[in-house]
Amino acid sequence: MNPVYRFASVRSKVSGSALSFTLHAGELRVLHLPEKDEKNAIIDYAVGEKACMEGTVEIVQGDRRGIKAVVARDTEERRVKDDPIPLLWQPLGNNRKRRAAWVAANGGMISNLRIWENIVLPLWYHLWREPEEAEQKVAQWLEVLGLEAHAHAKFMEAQPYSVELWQLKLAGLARALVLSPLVLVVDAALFDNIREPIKNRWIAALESYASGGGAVLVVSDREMSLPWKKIE
Amino acid sequence: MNNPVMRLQNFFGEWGLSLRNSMALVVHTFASLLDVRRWPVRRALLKQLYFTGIQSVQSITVMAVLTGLIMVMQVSNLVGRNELLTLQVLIWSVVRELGPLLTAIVIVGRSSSAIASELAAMQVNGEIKSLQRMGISPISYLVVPRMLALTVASMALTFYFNVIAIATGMIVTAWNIDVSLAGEVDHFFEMVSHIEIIAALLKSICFGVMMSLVPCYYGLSVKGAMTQIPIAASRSVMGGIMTIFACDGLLTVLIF
Repeated sequence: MNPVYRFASVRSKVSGSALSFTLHAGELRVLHLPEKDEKNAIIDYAVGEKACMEGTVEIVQGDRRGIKAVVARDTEERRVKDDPIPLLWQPLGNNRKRRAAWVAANGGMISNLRIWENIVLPLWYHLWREPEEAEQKVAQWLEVLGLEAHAHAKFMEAQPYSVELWQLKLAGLARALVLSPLVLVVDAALFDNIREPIKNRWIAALESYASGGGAVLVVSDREMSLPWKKIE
Repeated sequence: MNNPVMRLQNFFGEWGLSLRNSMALVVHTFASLLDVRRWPVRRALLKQLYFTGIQSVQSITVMAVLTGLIMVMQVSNLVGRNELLTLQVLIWSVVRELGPLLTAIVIVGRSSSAIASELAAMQVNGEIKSLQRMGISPISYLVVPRMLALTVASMALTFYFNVIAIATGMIVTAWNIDVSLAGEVDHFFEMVSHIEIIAALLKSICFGVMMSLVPCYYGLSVKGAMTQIPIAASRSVMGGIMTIFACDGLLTVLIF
């Protein structure tokens, strides 16, 4: 199997221990961390929002049909070490943009956008797609994730504050899946407080996504009953 | 410490940090201007234009009518039945100063506080973090459309304010001292110069940039607590007004 995603001696501010592992195409793995702060730090590194304090995060470049063995190195770390300006004021690094997508525990919705706008926001922003192009893809994923067809239109028009928590989580998951990234970084708390049938559908959806050539990294900060192997 | 920027920053302390961060915001915002080609940024720009431009028209109209009326009545009291001098004072004060300044104050009161509160709330609720984790730059998605919208709205509303205030002033003068309105319009085009129009335009552009970046800075600088949201709104209004007056002073000295 082709390696897709590699953490090499990554050390966060929170924990002293270095983290090294490799994910291959089609793999789903759970990374268990002892603390919530560390989980957040590792998610930040994993999706490229922050540069690692130590070590590197690498993504193998390529598309989902034929993954090429070209490694894109994390170049942000030098910039951050030398320049103390807060990250917010700096341009985002290009390393993991579009190639690693994040699934938030609670949806991570933007409150002034409708659910539909939230789902397609990264797709519009990164891939320059017009809304019509995305519509069919989003509808397909929502069906796979368990949203009934008759609830589709109402759900899409709703504001984030007016829907239930599991629907916010569903929208967050759909938002990441429609991007078709090489690596999907999932906050394991996504599976908290949702009904068992929905949870099973989402697990199946992630497995079918990985079988298409991507990799899924589920990051947790406590023991959870998930069907995937842990990263030791 | 060898880094001269860090040495300068330490020398100036907190104030230096704010200055450095605000400069970084300005540079990054201008560097991200081309992101307006992206669909979500264009959409945010249109929303902001509607909120700041279209929805402010009513307030600007009322303010412009009253400004024209008050100016003409006060000047008439001072200079008597001198139609030409009244018109001259009206043009000088409205086009050169009051138009850009009062329009900017309306926009600061209405939109800047809203921008600061909105961005601060997004920061507190973790939405800015969400954007960053999606690889979307908050500067490109949130600041660029607001800056462009406020700048365009400021230019358009300043022009609108000037037209309404001067038209009101002419109508009141014509009615008050019984002169022909058509004659006043002719005199207006003889009196108004290119420099006045360019100065008004330049001021409105500068004010637009200032009054969008100041609330964006205060809004995005919020860390964590809900109680910081009203503080950010209040600081952005005061900061916006102070910056506009400082900029107005500087431009007046440079141009006139």
